[in-house]
Amino acid sequence: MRNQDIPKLGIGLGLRIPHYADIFTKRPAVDWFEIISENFMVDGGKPLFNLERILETYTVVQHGVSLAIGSPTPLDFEYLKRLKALTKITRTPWVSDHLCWGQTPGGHYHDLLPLPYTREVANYVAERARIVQDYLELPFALENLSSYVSYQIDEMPEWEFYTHIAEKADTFFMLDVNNIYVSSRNHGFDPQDYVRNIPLDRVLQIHIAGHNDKGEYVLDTHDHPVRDEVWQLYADVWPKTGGVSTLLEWDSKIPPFQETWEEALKAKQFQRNLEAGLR
Amino acid sequence: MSYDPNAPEKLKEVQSWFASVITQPIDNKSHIAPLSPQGNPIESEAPLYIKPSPTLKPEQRIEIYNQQYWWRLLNVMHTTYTMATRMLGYKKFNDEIAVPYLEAFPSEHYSVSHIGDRLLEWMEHHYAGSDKQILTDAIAIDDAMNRAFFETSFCPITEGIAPEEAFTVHAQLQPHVTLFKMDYDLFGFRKEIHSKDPDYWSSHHYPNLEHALSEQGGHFPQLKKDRTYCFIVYRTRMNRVQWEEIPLAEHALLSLFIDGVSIEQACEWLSEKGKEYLTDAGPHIQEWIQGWIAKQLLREKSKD
Repeated sequence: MRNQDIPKLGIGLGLRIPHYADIFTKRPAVDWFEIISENFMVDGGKPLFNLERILETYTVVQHGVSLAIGSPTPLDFEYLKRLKALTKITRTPWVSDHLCWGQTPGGHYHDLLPLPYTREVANYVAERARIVQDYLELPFALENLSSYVSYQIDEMPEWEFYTHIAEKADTFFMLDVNNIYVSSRNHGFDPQDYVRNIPLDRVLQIHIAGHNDKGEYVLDTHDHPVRDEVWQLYADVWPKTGGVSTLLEWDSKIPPFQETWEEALKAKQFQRNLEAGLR
Repeated sequence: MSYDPNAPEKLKEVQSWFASVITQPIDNKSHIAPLSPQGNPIESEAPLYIKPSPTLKPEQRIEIYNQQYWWRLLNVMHTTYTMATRMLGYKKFNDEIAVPYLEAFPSEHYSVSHIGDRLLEWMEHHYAGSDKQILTDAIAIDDAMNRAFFETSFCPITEGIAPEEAFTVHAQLQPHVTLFKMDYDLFGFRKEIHSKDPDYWSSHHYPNLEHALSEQGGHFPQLKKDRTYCFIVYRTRMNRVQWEEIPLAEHALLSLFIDGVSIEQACEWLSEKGKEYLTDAGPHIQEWIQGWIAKQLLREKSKD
């Protein structure tokens, strides 16, 4: 599958509670919002009430954090059932989650943990991704992680592992350009090698975010404005994807709505500059 | 929970080791434990699984995940159990409740909002402090507030029928409703200590508060026990989480709806078995019932 049939939604924001008051009262001209699926996979209550208010005005896209597709435990069909039920409410054009693991028979770890990059693991994850996409009956994308470890048993670079899964499962990429940058610093690779070696026409959405440079390593904190190096990478990648939807994530030390939205709108400026340069 | 039969053996081995290391508690300076769960020095065991980076050793790399695991889960515990965190302070709450609880009952649900699902069970069987009752009550209140936020509402008993018919419907409380009966005003105290962050209460004292009589064991609130207090926690029709103090007789009547009863049967109970409440309830019962219906606190009893 390629991304030509995937809707291009423009610039979006991650929907976060501190912004609800502004969103509900001012209905700002945000192209679309991304929700964390699990926050709304509930029977009722205030979360669904708020979601319905958002859906009155905006396109909503679902992004998950708990599928943990590379876990050694069976796929959780109770989880998938709730996820699919939510897609009927949101009418999300696609669903995404992370290329990670996060559960063993001993419990859930509530983190996006990196997988060993071996062919055997790639085949295991690809089969599960194929099942998830078939079950959800929607385009399904996996997001590349920010990671802080690599394993002794790794057999290939991340971009090869990522591509193998998407091509074998015929799924999509949710490409986080900040994560490429963060991982490149933590593992010592060139981010350009990453973007040169994945099929960018499988990207259905891009994430941008800020990080925290701690010197010896870089932590993906989503609590800063997007760094220049990440904007540069975005400006390089976005046109090659065919202009897919872009989303700013800001999850900690969240500034007021207007400030967050202005940060996201920088992506629009990059897009205009690129389009002007092409003319 | 079991393994997926298709999971590669090598993957299971790496993940099992990784999980065992990151769930070991970090020390007071947020450093990884010097020994792995297998009892080996972490600096000799981590390189068997993890490669070094240009700047970090294998044990320093996995320490990042070890820290993230604990910081994330403890943060959720602090933001969920706001009262117990303020009563004990961050350090004592972590050391005496959150860390031992999370070690005993690792998360079993994909959503982090369920992390405290077994905390009251853990308190009952494992917590031995002299402050056990008030902390357990505080945790139960925060659980009720959470439930009021997340739980669904079913159709109220008046839905689709004439108001007078509602009196005979076999009814129970909505899932978002919780009742409390205690011998101190813990809700009033909660309101007062919520006016400041947990760190504030590490260096300030409680006696200035209206509801805290004194401090017990150095720095712990002891509340006035002057009468019985009853409360209800619920979600309003405007989807706001709310608590109110209610009369003892109203609490007794509402408690009947935990198992399920009709309003008519509740009134009969009052005149037959609940005579001790009759004097207090008599003049108000009509007003109370109107309030329950207006607030949509009652639903038809489920068939389960």
